[in-house]
Amino acid sequence: MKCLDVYIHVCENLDQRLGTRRCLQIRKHLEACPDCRAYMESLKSTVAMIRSLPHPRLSRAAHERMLVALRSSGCLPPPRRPGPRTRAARRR
Amino acid sequence: MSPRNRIFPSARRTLLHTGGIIFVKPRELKSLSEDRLIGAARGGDRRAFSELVRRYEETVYRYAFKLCRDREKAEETLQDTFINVYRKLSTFDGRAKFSTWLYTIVTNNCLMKHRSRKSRALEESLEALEDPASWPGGKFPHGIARWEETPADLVLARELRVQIESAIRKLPPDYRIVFTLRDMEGKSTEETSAIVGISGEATKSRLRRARAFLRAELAPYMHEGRTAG
Repeated sequence: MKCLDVYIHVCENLDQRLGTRRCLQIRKHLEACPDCRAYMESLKSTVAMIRSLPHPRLSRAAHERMLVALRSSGCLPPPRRPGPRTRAARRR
Repeated sequence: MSPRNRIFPSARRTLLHTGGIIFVKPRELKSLSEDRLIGAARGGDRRAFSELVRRYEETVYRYAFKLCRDREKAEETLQDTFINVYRKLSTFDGRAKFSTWLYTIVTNNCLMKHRSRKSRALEESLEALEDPASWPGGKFPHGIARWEETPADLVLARELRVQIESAIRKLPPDYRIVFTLRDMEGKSTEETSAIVGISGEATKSRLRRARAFLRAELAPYMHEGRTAG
């Protein structure tokens, strides 16, 4: 197995410990090849860093704008009219 | 057995069957299973569709943001997606998971917004990276430098975050989609293939090239240690 073969196949096994013949060959190559080891470790770091990026939640305002867009396209029913329909509301 | 019993045997207490269209009582929507909710929405119950939107809006928005890298575009994609879902719901045959079908619609909406000639040129250069002619004797063309430890906290450093963001934005959409589904959303190769509509082999090669591209973009900022070997 050559570095190019490891480069092609190592991605499938990034986080796995598979016992297939190819995986065993990759593992054997990695033990002997510092370039491939460094490459695989840096790939793992790349994925870990990107995974840890913060991502925004849907804001209340964006949620409301979506409801307006869906209602105006006829996908959602009109909003329920507020009114003293429940016992609790009538008590208020 | 009446049609009402055949359709929703365990929930007949909560469902009304009117003129071939199934309507769910509003207070029962939140506890209804996804299959039944989809059935009711397909039958024209817009309150059932509204509950589907409630369940999936956050997932759709986050995935759209990860693909678009822009709040405004993610919001636009969110709206377009649910309008498309409403219009195409009658074509959903239930063979795939609903979430898989939904991811496909989000993906297509994002793709339509992102295709460009510049991306195609970059895709070709990613393919060329694997040309055996540029691997003398099958070995790495250049020595691979070892990265120093990169704890997740480091990503909070503004400079590095900007570089990561810039690297993801440069990635052509077809590659970014596969990378996002596999490495950020945690989808399997099979589900990613189904969402994108490509073979398992194509999914693997796009993931490999996407990771290699992102790694190469970040390498200059990773405080490279001694050259390995």
